[in-house]
Amino acid sequence: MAQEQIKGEQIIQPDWAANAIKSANDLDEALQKLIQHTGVLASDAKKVFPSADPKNLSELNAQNAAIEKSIDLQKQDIQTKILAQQANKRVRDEVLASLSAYSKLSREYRLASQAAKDMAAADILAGKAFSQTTKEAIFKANGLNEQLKKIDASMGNYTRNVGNYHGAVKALASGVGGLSGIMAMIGEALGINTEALQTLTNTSKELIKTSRELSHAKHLEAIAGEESTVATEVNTAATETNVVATEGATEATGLYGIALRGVAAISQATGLSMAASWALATGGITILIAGIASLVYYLNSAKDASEELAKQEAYRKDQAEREAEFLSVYDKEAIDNAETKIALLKKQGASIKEIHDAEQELLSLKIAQNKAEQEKLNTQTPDAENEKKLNTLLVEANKLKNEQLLLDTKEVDKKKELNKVSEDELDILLKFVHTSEELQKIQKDAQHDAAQSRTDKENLIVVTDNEAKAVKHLTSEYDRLNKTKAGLAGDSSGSPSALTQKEIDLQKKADAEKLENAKKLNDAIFKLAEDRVKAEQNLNKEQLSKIDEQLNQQFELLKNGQKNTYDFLLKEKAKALEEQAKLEKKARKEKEAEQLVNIFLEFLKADIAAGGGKNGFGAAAKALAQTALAKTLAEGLSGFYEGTEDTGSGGNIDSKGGMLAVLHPHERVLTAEQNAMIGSLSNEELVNSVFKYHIAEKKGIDMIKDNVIEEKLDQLISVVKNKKESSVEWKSLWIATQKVTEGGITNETTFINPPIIKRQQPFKN
Amino acid sequence: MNKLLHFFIQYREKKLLKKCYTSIEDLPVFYWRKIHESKNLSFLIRSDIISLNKKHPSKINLFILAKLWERIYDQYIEAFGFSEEFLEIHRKKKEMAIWRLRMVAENNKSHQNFINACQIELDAMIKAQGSGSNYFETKAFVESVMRVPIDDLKTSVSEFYYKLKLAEKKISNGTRAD
Repeated sequence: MAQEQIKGEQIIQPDWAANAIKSANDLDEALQKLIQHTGVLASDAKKVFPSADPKNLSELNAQNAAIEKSIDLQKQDIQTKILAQQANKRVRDEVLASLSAYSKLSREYRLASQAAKDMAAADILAGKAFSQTTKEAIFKANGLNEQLKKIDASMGNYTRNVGNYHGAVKALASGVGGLSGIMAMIGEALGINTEALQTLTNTSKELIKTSRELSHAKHLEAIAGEESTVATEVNTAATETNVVATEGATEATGLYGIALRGVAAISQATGLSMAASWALATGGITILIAGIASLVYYLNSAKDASEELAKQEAYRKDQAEREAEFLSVYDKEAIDNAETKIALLKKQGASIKEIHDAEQELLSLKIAQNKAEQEKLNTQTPDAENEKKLNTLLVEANKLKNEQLLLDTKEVDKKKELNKVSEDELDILLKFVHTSEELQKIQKDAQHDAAQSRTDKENLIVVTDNEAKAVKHLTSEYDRLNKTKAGLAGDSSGSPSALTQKEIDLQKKADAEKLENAKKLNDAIFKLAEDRVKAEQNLNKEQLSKIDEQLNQQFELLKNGQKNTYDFLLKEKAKALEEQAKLEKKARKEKEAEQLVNIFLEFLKADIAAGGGKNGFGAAAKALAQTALAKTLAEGLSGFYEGTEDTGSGGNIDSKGGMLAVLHPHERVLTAEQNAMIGSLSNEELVNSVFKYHIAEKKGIDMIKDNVIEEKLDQLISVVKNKKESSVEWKSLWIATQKVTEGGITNETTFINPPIIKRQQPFKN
Repeated sequence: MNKLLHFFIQYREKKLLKKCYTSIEDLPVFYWRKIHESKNLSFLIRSDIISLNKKHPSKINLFILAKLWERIYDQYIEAFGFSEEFLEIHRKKKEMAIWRLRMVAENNKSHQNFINACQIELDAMIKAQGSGSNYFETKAFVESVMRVPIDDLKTSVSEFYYKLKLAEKKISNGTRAD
């Protein structure tokens, strides 16, 4: 259901409460007049109030009556004012209640009508007839509207109280009923019991009392009167009967005569007087006439009702036809619009999706129209022409179904295409990601190179151009000659033929490049190691700071004598400090390693620049550089600088996966086989176990043999093995067999008639 | 019908009044007391038989006797007047009534305060008056002061109250009758 913000002024019709408010104002005015009237009475009573002392009983009674009247007037005044307050409150409450109920109803109607309109519009746009839900929504909205109309129309009779205000005002204006009468009327209008008010008034009391007495007297008089009347009637009846009997020859003519004869017949039959018979006949005729009248009225009303029904039916039919006509016209337009839209999209080169959606829309409209036409034909009288039309429509419906299937298939293909497109896009994206990664790497390298080149430039020794050229020329010449020599001498390090200058330069350049690469890699790796150590140090620092915080808190608890974990935290702090020291040491050693590697690589660089090693070092240097020595060094250095349980899968220094490592004095290295024997024990645990079991103190002694525990165990085993065991078995009451096992040998002895005592005790050997 | 009734009542009145005490001069104080105690006006009808309880009169007789009683009471008031205490209370009630009328006429609720004040004074007056002395106390007082025994059935109302008046006067003067 559509939800919308509804404002009060939209819901409440401004004039609906005017009648109620006007009536309330009128009542208020009337009550105010009543109050004024009471005041006037009181002032009059005050004027005539006797001030002198009574001289006799009648004066005393009169004065007492005046006193009573003053009390009554005061009570009337209070009650009237209370009535006025209650009336105002009642009206206010009723208005508010009506307002809320009315506003609620109005809001419901607005929402229902909006929802119904939305649903109907959606159905029309979709090219469908109104669905059941839409019809229900319309019906609901109309029902609410009718209710609101009824309320608006019957505003004067909305509540009994509101309507009757007019009566009360009229009564007041005409002065009917006097004060108590007016109040009674008003009270009745307001639903307030005013009997108490009336009984308070002495005048009313007296009036009631006197009237009762008078009415009783009147009643008696009436009874006396009636009896005389009855007597007169009897005489009259007798006279009339005589008249009928004696004047039987006289025939009255016309309708009167018929009636008279009929009445006479009734009189004779019933024995009643003519007057009574007249009454009976009249009564009967009256009843008959009333019956006829009521029958006529009923028939007329039935006729009216049926005419009304026929009108409504005709109206509904007309509405349905108009709706169908409207829909058909609307449908045709909609179809034309849809076709135009498709053509336009194709011309503009719209996407497949858009064209597909437009085609789907067109197809839906056509199907809806077909269905509506079928329904229309079904409502009409079946004849040959209609049958033919229906068949055409059915064929068309089938065609539309096929089109729908085709469209659905296209939808599937379209989706597959979209998926493929998305897959291609994904591949492209992935490639882009890889490319961007490579680009980033290249950029990073370039930045590093730029930084390095700046550093190199700073470290360059300033040499004059001529000197440098001279040195370079000489060095290259020297290299060339050495190589030629080496080649001639069959040194593998040289080449078989003399190398040209260009070749030497190229070789040098290549070596320098490799060395540069190695240096770059080395720097990167040491940087990573440095970063890692720094991160570990930061972490440790954070932990330390946290421990310090907690220490402070626990110290406070300790001071207050409360339960705390101060000692535990102290231990934790000690561990953290130890870890910090280790990390610092590690960072220092990695730095030393880095410097060492740098020096080595610089040496290589210088050596390469100088044209290679004179004593074959150049070849070694070349091999080192070519085999990415720096990387291996760095890995080897930072991998287990502080010891490790496993050096990993190995490097490529030699055929056995050898790798370089930096070792320090008095450190232990195990082979892989020895390490395998230790198993998953960490270095720490291994050392602790050795320390715990004092294994290190047994240096030089055969620990297996001198193992006290093992010896003891052996002894125990031997004792258990050689333990003497005996058992007794009774074969019968007189025969017992004793088995003694010792050292694996069992001796069995049979006793005949052994003594009872011995039976109870274990046999001793 | 009304005329007949009226005639009948007049006729009945004439006949009844002949049998009744018609003034305070002849009404014994005993019956005066009984009427006040029992509210039964039948005691106004003379009777040779002295009875402490009488049947209440019929409606017509009641109507007649009520008029007679009113006349007798007026005679009493004319002769002896209302008591000062009674008059004070009555005046206070009238004052209250006037305040009420003023409150209604002027629509001024503040007058309720005066009404409340009057009510308090009235309650105090009624309380101060007490329940009053009963007939026997009064009779004993009169007998003690006047030194004369009083026969209820033979002493009329006027006689009794004149003696009472005298006794009160004597007491107020501080002398006793010799």
